[in-house]
Amino acid sequence: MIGVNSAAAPAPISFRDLFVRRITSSASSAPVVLALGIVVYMMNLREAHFPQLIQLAAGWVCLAVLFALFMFPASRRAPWRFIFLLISLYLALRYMWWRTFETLIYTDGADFFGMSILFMAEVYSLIVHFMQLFVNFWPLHRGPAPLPDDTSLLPTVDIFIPTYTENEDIVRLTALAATQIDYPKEKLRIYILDDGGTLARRNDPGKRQGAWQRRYRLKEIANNLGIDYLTRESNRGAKAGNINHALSYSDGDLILFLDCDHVPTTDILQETVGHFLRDEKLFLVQTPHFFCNAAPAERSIGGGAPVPDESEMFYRVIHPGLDFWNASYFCGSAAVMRRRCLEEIGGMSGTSITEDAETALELHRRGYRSCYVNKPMVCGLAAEAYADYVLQHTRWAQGSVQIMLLHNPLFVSGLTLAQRLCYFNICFFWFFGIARMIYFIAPAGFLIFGLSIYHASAYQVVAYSLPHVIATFLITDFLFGRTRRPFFSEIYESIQSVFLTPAVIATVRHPHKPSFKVTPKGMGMKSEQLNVLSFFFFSILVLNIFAASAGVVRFWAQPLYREVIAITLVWSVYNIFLSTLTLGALWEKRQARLHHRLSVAGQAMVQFPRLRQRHAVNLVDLSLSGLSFDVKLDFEITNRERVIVEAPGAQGIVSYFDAEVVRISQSGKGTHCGARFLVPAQSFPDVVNYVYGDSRRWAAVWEVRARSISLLRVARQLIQMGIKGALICLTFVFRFGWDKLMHTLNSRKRRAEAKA
Amino acid sequence: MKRAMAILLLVVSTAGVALADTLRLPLQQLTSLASLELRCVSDQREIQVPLPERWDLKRLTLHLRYTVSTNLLPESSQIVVRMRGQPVAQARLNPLAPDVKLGVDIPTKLLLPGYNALAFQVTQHFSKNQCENPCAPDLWTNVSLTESYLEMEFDWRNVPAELSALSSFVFDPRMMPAGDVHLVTEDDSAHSATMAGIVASGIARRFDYRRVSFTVSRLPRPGVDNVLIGKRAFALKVLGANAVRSLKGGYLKVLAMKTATGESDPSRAMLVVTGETDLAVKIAAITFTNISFKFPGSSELEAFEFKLPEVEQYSGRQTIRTDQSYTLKTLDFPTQSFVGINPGSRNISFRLPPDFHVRANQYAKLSLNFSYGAGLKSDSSFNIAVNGKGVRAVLLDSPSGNFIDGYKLDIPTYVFEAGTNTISFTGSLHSGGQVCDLAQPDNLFLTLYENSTLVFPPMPHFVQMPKLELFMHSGFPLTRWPDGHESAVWLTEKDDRVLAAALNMIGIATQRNGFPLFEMEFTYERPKTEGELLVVGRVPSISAELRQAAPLKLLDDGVVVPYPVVRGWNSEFVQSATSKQKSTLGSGRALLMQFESPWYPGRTVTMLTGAGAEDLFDASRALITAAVQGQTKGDLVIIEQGDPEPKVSAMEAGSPYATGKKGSYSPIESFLYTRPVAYYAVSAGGLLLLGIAIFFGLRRWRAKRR
Repeated sequence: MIGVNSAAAPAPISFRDLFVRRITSSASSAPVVLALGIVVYMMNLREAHFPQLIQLAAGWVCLAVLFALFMFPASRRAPWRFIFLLISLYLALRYMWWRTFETLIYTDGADFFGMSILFMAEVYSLIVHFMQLFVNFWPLHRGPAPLPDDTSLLPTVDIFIPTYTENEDIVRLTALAATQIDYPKEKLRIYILDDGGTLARRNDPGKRQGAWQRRYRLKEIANNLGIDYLTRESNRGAKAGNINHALSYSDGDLILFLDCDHVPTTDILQETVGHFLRDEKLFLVQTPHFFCNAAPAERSIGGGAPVPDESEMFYRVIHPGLDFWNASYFCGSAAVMRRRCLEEIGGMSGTSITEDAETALELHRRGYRSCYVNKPMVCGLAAEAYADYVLQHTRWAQGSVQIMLLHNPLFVSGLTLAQRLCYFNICFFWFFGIARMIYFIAPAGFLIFGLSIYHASAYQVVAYSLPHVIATFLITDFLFGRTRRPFFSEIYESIQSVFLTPAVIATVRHPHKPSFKVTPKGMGMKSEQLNVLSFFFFSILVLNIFAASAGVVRFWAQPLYREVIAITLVWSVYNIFLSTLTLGALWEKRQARLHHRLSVAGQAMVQFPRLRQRHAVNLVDLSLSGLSFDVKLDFEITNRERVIVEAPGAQGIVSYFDAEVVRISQSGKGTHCGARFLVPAQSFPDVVNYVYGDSRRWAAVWEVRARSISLLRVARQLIQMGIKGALICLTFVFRFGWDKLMHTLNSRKRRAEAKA
Repeated sequence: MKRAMAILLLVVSTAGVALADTLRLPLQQLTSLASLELRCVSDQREIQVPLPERWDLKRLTLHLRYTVSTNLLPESSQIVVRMRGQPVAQARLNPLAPDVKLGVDIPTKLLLPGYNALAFQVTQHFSKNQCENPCAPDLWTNVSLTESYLEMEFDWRNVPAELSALSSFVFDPRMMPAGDVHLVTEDDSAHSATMAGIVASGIARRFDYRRVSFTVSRLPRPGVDNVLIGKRAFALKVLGANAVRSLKGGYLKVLAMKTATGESDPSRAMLVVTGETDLAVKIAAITFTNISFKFPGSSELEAFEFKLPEVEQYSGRQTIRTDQSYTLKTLDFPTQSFVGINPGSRNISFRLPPDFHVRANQYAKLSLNFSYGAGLKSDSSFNIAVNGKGVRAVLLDSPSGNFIDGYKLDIPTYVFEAGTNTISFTGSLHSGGQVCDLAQPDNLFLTLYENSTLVFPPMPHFVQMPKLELFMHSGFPLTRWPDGHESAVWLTEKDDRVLAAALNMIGIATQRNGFPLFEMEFTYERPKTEGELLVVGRVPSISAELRQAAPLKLLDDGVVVPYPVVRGWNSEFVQSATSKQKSTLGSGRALLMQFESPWYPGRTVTMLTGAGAEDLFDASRALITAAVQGQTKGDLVIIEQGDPEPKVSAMEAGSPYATGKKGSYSPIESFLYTRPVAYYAVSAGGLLLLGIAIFFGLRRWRAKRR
C-alpha cells in the first residue's frame, strides 16, 4: 500500500462485471491475439534450418524494407508507423530467438559464466527495447481544452513552489512569474513552501543563521509579491512532507506544482485546467520540463551549438506515448493535480524517494486518469555540474528501483496491462548501467582472456545481429530523432553507468535505505575541469585498447577463430570510440552566467533613438539581463549605443525596454549586436513577462534544438569531439602525473634536507 | 580288384579336391581404395585379408599388378610383399618394364583365422649417390587394387556343436564374398515375420559390414546355413521327433544341416529358435540376437528372460554422443608413432547421427597429446584432416623435440557430415640435414597418445527429407531409435520372396546402424500406430494412398512419372515434368522410393516395390551390394538387374518435408520448414495482420483518450 490513507483502496469489481469485461475485451482483441500468435509461432519454428544465404537474405530484406519505410515520411503516421515498428520488433525477436536457441552453448564453466552474464545483459536490453516500442507505439498529442467564458465556473487553483536551499533569487523569479499567470486572481493563491527555513533548521546551531536569513528574505519576497509563505516545524518527509504540510493550509480545487527554478509561462493554467473540467476522473495534467541551460554532457558534446537536452526525449516523445496508455505520471513539477484525489490517498506518497511517480501510480491504481499536454510552459535550470547531475540521476534511478521493488507495477492491483508495462518500463530502464558495463568489458573477456562468450559465426552475425543492431539505430532515430542525436544516448548511458550501477545495486540490496536529496540548481561552474568519473573511462579505454591489440595478434595467430575475432574486434573498437567520446563529454565546461542566455528565434523591433530609426531585428538569444540580435543597417552602431527594445508580451501588450549595445560584430547576416537591458527595478516583472511569459518561445527553442543535421556531420562532430576530449584528458592525466611526480620528488628532497 | 579299388580311391580323392571352393577376390573389395601409391625412398602400405574360421585354406595366390616410375634405378629399387610380416615375394622395380604382373604363392600356414596384414613395401631410388631428395616426385610405385586379386582355394570346416560359435564361426564377418542364410518360418503370419525380422537383424549385425542375404520358406534349404524359427511343434515337424526336447522357455540349439538327400552336412549349421509359445519363441529370438560372447559352450540353451538395456535415440555403432569426452583409445586409436620420412596416415572413424544439423557456430574440440623427436627440419608438421579436408598443420619446429600436452584444436562442425566421419593424422617429418647428408631417420618420429580427447558439441536434429542416402548410411529413419522402436514393416502381401526382400532391407538397416531391431513390428495391414514405415510388396498390392503419395505414382488409372527437365548444379534445384501415362514398370526392375507418410506428417515411408515378387527379391539382394548402396540417393531409385552388376537410376522427384528428433511434425511445420519463401511470406502476413489489427483496435482507444 503506497498511500498514507490505506483505507481508501480500489473498489472491488463484481464477478459479473469482470466476466462481461473479459468477454468484450477478448472479442475485440481476438485478431491481435491471433496475429501475434502467428508471428510468435513462426518465430518459434525458427530459420536455423534454412540455407545460410536465405537466413542472411531474410535479415537484410527486412532491414531494406525498414529503411525504405524510414525514408517515407508517411511512415511516421499510423498505420504505416505500426508496420515500421513491427518490422523492427520482428528483427529484434528474430535475433532474440536465434541468440537463445542457437548460440547458448556450454563449453566450460568460465565461458558459461561470461556467456550468461552477457546474455542476461542482452535480454535486459531487448526487454527495454520491446517496452520502448510498446510505450511509443502511438504517442498522443492532445488538442487544447478551452476554459469556459464564465470565470465563476473555473476551479480555484493553488500554486505550490516548494524550496529548500536554492538561491532566493531563483525562487523570487519563479514566484514573480507565477503572479503573472493568466488566471482570475480571486481563484489563484500562490505559496512559497520553504523547507530551508523550518523551525528545526532555525534551531540548528550550524544552520541557524542561514535559515533565519532565508526565512526573512523569502517572507519579504512573498510580501512584496502578495503571495503566501509557508514553512513548518521539521523537514520530515522532505519534499513530499513539505507539500503535504501545505495541503492542510490551502484549499484550492487544483494544485499547480512548480519547482522553485521552474519559471512558468502565463498560459500554463489556460492550457491545463480545461482538461479537469472535461474529465471528473482526471487527477493529473503533466506538462514538459523545459530547461534553458545545457546539462554538463550537452555542453561538452554540443560543441556550443544548440542540441536537444537529455530530458527532451522523455518529455517530447516518451511522455505522449505514456499518455496514450493512460500512464502519464507526475514528474514533480509543471503539473496540475486535483486536490480531492491527492487527499484521498493522504497526500503525496513517500515510501520511495521519487514520491511524484509513486503518487501517480497509486492514483492510477484507483482508476483515476492522467493526461499530458505536450507544450513547454515552465523554464527550469538543468543541473550544471556533474556532481549535481549525478545526484539528480541517482535519485531518479534509486527511486524508480524502489518503486519496482516495493510496489512492483507488474503485480500491484488496479492497473491495466498497458499501465503495468509503462510503469515497469520506467523502473526497469534504470538498470541500464549494469548492461552498459558488461558491454564495455565483454570483448576483453574473449580477446584477452579467451572466454568464449558469444558463439556465433560471421555469417550468423551478419544474418541476425547486424540487421538487429542497425534496426535499433533506425528505430531510435525514427522515434527520437528530433530529440536525441545519434550516439548521444550511448554517451549519456555510458556516463551514467559509472555512478548508477553501484547506486542501483545498493538499492536492490537495501530498498528502504536511499534518502531524498535535493538537486542543487543555479550554482554555475566556476572553472573547466575533468570530472573524476573520467578515470573509469580511461580504464575502459585502456582495457579495450589492450583487447583490440590482443585481437589483432590473435587474428593472425588463430586463423580458425578469425570470424569471431573480427566481430569482437569491431565491438572493442566501438567501445574505444564510445569511451573516447565519453571522456570528451566528461570535460566540464565553465558556465559563469547569472542568467542563462537562450538561443531563440523570431523577430523584434528595436528603436535607435540617436538616429530616430526603428528596425526589425532577428533575435538570436535572450536572457533576463539582455538580448542579442542580427540586423542589417545602413549606419554604424557605436559602442554603448542606447536602443529601445519593443517587447511584445505573452498577452500581446508591448513593453519598451531601454538597453545599451555592449557587443558588436559583423557577419554575413549583417550586424550582430549584444545589448544589455537598462530597466528600473519596477520594470523587472515586465522583463520576466517578456522573457519567460510566452510558451511559444519555448516551443520555438525546442524546434531550434531539434533541427536535424546530417548523420555525416554528426559523425564528424562526434569524432572531433572524441579526439579533442581524449587529447585534453590525456594532457590532464599527464599533467596530473607530472604534478604528482614533482610533488613526490620535492617531498623527498625536503625530507632529505630536514634530515641533513 | 586292387587296381580297381585304387582307381576308385583316386577318383574319390580327386573328386574331393574338385569339391573344394575357389574364390577370386579383387583387392579393391578389401579396402575402399582403387590403388596404393608407394612414395619416397621407403614406403609401406597394408591391406587386411580376412580369413574365416570355418575355411580350411588350401591354396592362396596373390596376383599383383603394379606400375613403377620410369625414373627408378632398378639395381637399388625393389618391392617386397609380406604376409603377416613375413616376406613372401620380392622383385626389382624395373623402369624398363614399368607395368608388371606378378603372381605370388603365399604359404597358407602364414595365415590365421581373422585378419591378416598383406603388406607392400618398397625401397626406391633414382640416383646412385646419396644426394637425392628422399621424397622426390620420381619415387613412386602404384599398386592397382582393381586389377590385383587373391585367389583362394578352401574347404569348409565342420560347425562346432556350441552356440557361442554362432558369432565367430557361423555368422562370421570375415566370410567372403557374402553371407547367405535361409530362414525357415512356421507360417506366413505377421508374428512369424516379426520373429524372422528379429533373427535376421541379429544375423546381419553379426556379419557386421559383410553383406548377407536372406531367403525364407517353410522348409530348410540345403547347402547354406539355416535358422528355423517357430514353436516347438513346428520344429519337431521339420526336424524330427527328437530334435527338440521338452521345454518351458525359449530354446536355442545348433544342429548340423542335412543335405537334399537327407544326409548330415556338418559344414552347415541349422539353428533352431523355438519355444512352446509365441512369447517363448520371441525370448529365444532375442537371446540369439544378443549372444556376442563365448558363452555358452553347449549346443543348446533354454532362455526364460532377457533384459535389454535402456536404448537412447541415435545410439548405434561407433556413434559419437554429444557433450561426452572420448579418448582416442575409446575411439579405437591406441598410442601410435609415426616414424621415418614417410610415415603415412592414421585414422579415427566414427559416426554422427544422420539428421545431425550443422550449426555454423559450433566446434568439435580435439585435445591432442603428442611428442616428436629432435632434429626435425623446421618445416616438419603434424597434419590433421577431417573427411579428407585439412583443418590444421601443427608445425614441429622445436629443434630439440617436444612433448605437447593438451594442444587444443576447435574444428567447425560444418566439416563433418551425417554418417561416417574420419579424422586423419599425418606426420610430415623431414630430416634436418642437407640433401647430400646421410639421412638419419631414427629421430624422425611423432607419437600421438591415446589419452588425447575428442568432444562433440550438442547437435540439433533436423533434416530435410526424403533422402534415401540416409537409409543407406544408417538405416535412417527406421533406426532413429536404434532398436526399431516407432518403426514398422508393412508387407502388402503374403509371399516368402516379399518377406525375404523385407528381411534383406532390415539387414541393411541393422548393418549400417550396428544395433539389432528388436522392436520392429511386421504387419500385413496398415500399422495403427504412428511411426516410420518400410513397405514392401508388388505394385498392385500396395494401398492406393501410398501409391498416390509416392514420387512415382503407380495409380490404377495411369502412372504419373516425373522426368527431370532442368537440372541445376545443385540437386536441390532439380525441376521435373510429370507425365501421366498408361505404362508398367516391367520385369527385372524394382522401385525404391521414399516419401512423407500420407497419415503422419513428418514420418517417412520407404517403399520397395516392383511388378513381381521375384523382382523385389532380386532388387533387395542388389541393394545389399556396396555399389548399389553408393548410388542410392534422392527419393526415387530404379534398380534394374544387369550383368555383371545391377543398374541404378536415382532422382529427386517428390515433395520435401522435414523431420528431426521427435520424428513427427505437423503438416504446417513440415510445409514451412521445407519452403523458406512460404515461411517468410506467412511471417510477413502475420506482421501485416498484426499491424492492421492493432491499428483498428487502438483507434477506438485513442479516440477515447483524446
